[in-house]
Amino acid sequence: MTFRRVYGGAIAAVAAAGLGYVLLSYAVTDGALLPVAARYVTDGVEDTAAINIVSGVLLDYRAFDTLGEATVILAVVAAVSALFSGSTRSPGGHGAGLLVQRSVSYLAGFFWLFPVYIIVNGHLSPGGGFQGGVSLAVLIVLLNVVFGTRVGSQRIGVNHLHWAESLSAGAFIAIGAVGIVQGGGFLANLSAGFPAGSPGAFISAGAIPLLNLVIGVKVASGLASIFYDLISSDGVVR
Amino acid sequence: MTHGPVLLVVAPLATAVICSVTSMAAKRATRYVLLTGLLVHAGLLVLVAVDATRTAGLIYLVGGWAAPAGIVLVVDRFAALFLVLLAIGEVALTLYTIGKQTVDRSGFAVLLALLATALSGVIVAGDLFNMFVFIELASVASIGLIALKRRDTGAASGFVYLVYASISGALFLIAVVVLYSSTGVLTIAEIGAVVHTMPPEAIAICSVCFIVSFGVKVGLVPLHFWQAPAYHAAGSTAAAFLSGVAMKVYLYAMVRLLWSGLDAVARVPAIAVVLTVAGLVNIVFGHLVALGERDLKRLLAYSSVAHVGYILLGLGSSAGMVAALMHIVMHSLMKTGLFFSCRPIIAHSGSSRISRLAGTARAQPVAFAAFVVAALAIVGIPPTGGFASKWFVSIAAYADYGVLPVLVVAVGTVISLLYYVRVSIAALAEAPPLRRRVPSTGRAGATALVVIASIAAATLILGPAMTRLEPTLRRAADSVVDRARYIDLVRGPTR
Amino acid sequence: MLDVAFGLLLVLLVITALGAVLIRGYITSIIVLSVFSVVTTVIFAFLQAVDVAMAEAVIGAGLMTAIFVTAVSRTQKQRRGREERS
Repeated sequence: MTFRRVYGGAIAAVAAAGLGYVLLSYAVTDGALLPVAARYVTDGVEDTAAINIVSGVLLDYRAFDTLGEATVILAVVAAVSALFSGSTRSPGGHGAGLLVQRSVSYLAGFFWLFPVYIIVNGHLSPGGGFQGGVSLAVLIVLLNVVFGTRVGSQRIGVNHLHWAESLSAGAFIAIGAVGIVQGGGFLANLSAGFPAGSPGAFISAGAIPLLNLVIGVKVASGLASIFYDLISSDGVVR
Repeated sequence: MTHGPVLLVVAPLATAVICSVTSMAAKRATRYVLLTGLLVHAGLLVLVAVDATRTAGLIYLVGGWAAPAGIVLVVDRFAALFLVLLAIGEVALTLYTIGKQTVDRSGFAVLLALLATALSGVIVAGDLFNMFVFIELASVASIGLIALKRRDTGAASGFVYLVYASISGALFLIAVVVLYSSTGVLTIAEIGAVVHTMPPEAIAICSVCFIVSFGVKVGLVPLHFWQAPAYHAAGSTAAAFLSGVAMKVYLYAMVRLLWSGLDAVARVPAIAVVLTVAGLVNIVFGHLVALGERDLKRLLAYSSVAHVGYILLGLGSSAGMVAALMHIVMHSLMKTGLFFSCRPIIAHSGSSRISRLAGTARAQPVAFAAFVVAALAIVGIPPTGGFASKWFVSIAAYADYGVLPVLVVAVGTVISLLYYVRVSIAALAEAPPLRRRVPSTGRAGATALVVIASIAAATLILGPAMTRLEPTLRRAADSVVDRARYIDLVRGPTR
Repeated sequence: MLDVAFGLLLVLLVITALGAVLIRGYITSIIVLSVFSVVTTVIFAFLQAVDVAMAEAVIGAGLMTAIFVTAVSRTQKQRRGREERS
């Protein structure tokens, strides 16, 4: 056991040293923006009409990557639910005590506010569909923990989640296809005729708020359904 | 067809989404949606590939953003070859699975469509990070496909692959970080245009990261441990697609990055030696382990390990790109043929243990005949295509490294002949009369047998026809070896 | 002053990372891992990468912890069941 620890520690130390050496010698820049990043910073707001440049990059310049990342979640959900499908055990879990349940039920409204705010303001302030979607999923997990999995899964059933996920994936593709129909190419934003609005306004940045919304729903439903698959399994992969 | 390259990714993705809807709403329809989607996708693949070979190549700007800022999709002749390979794989798979229950297994349709999405995404990707995203998607989908069939052993082997794939992804990401911070761009062609300004040791580090990262995926020898259990646990259909097509796409990505992106072999000559030595080790090790293997599917997995070696041997030789492409095409056909034809055999005997194959040759004559033909081809018996590609690989390696690689190839051929003969003898033996017959579950349908037979026929015909195929492959190889073509295609010849 | 605070955060990052690997007991390890995520979040915020910080906070400290704890509790239940049967 100690030998394995020493051996594993030695491997980890060597790997960390190698990685540190490589990154320090070849991946450290002097702080000046690299060409592409400089382009994003100078032209980003004009090109995408989103004042959150990160959203502009993720959902306009490189929206295709984001589509790919969202698809990875789709694949994970398909794999996990296929692995656990057929487990008969209904989720147990009684939830927290009465005091916690009451106070959370008063606060639940405010809990919803945070992810929704992050999602719909993704083009204006830090955050966006991905962060907001994960917060939504965490919120669903929280409700399950507090009120017991039986109540939780009745409120938001795993079927609803699967539907929401498939439909939002379809919506993502549909928004991208607008670019093909209108010209400008797949996942084009302003060049496909989405209204730019005035940067900084709530309704602006063309398709970016729509994509944020779609990604929010997709990420939330995908991750929450992974959680549901886990709790409804009896620990035995069948 | 101006939108061709992006449709290659979007069409199977839409298929996956529709499949995930129908698997909830109309379970029966899923099969037809998947098969139609794959056939349409295969048609698109061929159309785009033809389009790309007629012109100098295709460029697609996703979202309308030009190269360094946006994501660019590129189809040159080299990519077109792999698009066709993917199309053949998909058509064969579709026709083979018509009328099988495999398709109805929950999740299978979605994961297979997503794997097709990811593989075409990797082939058309002209952007380093975009390629990374699709490689990740491909590994997640493969893990799902591996784990689906036998959930107990499948989940275990899927988990092993997951661990390996994470390491592979991390290494890829390190190379991306180094390349991005030294060049400031992520487009592969833009990196290729400025790679000469990078210090050689940085290029070497990135190349090694890429080689190890893809080495995990294709099964370079110390990194191959996930492969045999994974192919054993996966159904023959999934295994055929993973070994026959997905592995070749990873090799494509590696060649694309090392040649078009990093110019690795010219800048760091040791990379060629590394590839060659890795190839030789793979040939010897893969064949030796396959010789001792008692299970047919694990044997085929180790034969894959060995044949990656031949491809790497071609890549490591200065004039070996054409030979490597030949072996990629041939191995794709032969391995698909072997996995497809061993499925009815295994289904009949009820086990993939070689010792229990007795009597299967008589019961499944067509499948067994196809198996023998494909085995002859993969061993490299003269009139077959497998002989031709091995021959060209040996010649290319002989020119650079002398007689040693040729000897290794010869020894490997003898060993592989031994183990395929062993399998054939086991299958030809009389079935022991007293053994309790496992009721054969999957009777091969007529279309499946036609697919198996035509793949076997193709491996035979491609031997004499290799000279006809060679000019096409040479042009495909030229478009990656002659780096300026790819870089000019993406950046425009004006600059 | 800020440099010192940043350095302390980096040291804390290494300590929590080592802790997550070395500590016996899955649940403790998972909690330490979520502390690691919180520290990472602060570091990202320090570097003015607020979007990344937010993602790290909700994924690393929130969702991953929940999923890991669920997975551990499921597998432990199974292990206990096996011991009872044998």
